[in-house]
Amino acid sequence: MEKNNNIFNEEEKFEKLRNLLSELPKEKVPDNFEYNLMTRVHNKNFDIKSERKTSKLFRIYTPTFALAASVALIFFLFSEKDINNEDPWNTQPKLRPEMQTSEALEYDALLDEETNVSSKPSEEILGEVKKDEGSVQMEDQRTQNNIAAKKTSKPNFPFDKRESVDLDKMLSTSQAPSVNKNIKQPQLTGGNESPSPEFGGFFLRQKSVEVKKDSLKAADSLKQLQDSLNGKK
Amino acid sequence: MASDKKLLSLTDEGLIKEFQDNDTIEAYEILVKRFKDPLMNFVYRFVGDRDVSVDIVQDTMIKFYLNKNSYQSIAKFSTWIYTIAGNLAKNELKRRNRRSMLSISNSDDDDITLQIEDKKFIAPDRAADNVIKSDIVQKALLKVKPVYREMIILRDIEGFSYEEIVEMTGISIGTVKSRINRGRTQLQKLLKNIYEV
Repeated sequence: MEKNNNIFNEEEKFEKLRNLLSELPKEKVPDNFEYNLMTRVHNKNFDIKSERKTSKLFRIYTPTFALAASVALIFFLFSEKDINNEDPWNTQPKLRPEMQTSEALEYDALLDEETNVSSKPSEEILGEVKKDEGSVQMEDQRTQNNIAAKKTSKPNFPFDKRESVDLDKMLSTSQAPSVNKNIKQPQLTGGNESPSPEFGGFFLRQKSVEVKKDSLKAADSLKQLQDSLNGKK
Repeated sequence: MASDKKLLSLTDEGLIKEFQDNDTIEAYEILVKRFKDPLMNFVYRFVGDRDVSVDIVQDTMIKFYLNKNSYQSIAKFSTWIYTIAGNLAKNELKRRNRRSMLSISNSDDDDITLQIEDKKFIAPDRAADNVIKSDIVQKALLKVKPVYREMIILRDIEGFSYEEIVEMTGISIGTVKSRINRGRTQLQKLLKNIYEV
């Protein structure tokens, strides 16, 4: 009896709420509901959307496989990069090949200019001798000498590149310059700290002219000798 | 034609028996016609989404079609089919909860709260409008815990007795009553600012 009274009291207590809920409009299915349902039944399309389940194993292992795959991908990507590419922040910039070759060519041209002055007369003489003698051995020797000269010969500066030169003293006395090791090699303004290959300091060609004269004298004497030999023949 | 009239005169339990025994598709169709709207109302009040509710009711009917033999005549057909619909609706809510846990933002609940609180500033003449009223009540209902919500809908909206609810849910009558009571209290608190209930 008491229980029934309690229930009745509770129903009374929430009477307004109950009325409010019962007055709510009734929701209805759309007009095509039955048609769609019977179509599904006739087509035996019994796939229930709200009961589609994925297996627990799939739920557990999917993130694991995804993690492993991503780690493997990252590993291969970064390892490939290490082999083929250099880190631009940790490597010195390389000189362009065309720059390197142009520098080398300039240096070679300088060497040729210097060596041709002294070697040309002797080449002519040797060539004439070769014509006369016609020996293969001489020709080989000449080519060997030329190669050796090109390889080993350096610009024959009358002073050390690393030392300063007192030009007035040198011109007046034409002696070797005094050594002053405290003075650095002269550098062109606007250049960087490394010594420029184009500028090697001032030097005189006086000595080389003398060498040229000597070589010409030798050539003349050889020519005279050749003429006398021809005359004998 | 005569058989159709005969079927229409049958009770729910008679129709399901006809469908079970003779596989009469007309009996199934009549049951669908009888229960489609009440189930839609129940599921919509529980889930709060029309399209989803239509899908759930469709799935309920499909399950009924497939599992017709699992119905036993000792129970009422209405309690059986409501049980199916209620389980599917609960599954849908669980899936939604999982999604909302995984998603970065869960703005739906915040919107509901704000909307309910803001409605107290609606003018009284406009608040009397049934559409707005039902909208507010529906949103308040969705704020109530699902275990209590189900009981309130079955008892106060669908009008089932306590015994029928016990049959549907499979819980004791005491638990049903206490859940209904708690659910009503929650709902009353939510609607107190808007209506003096």
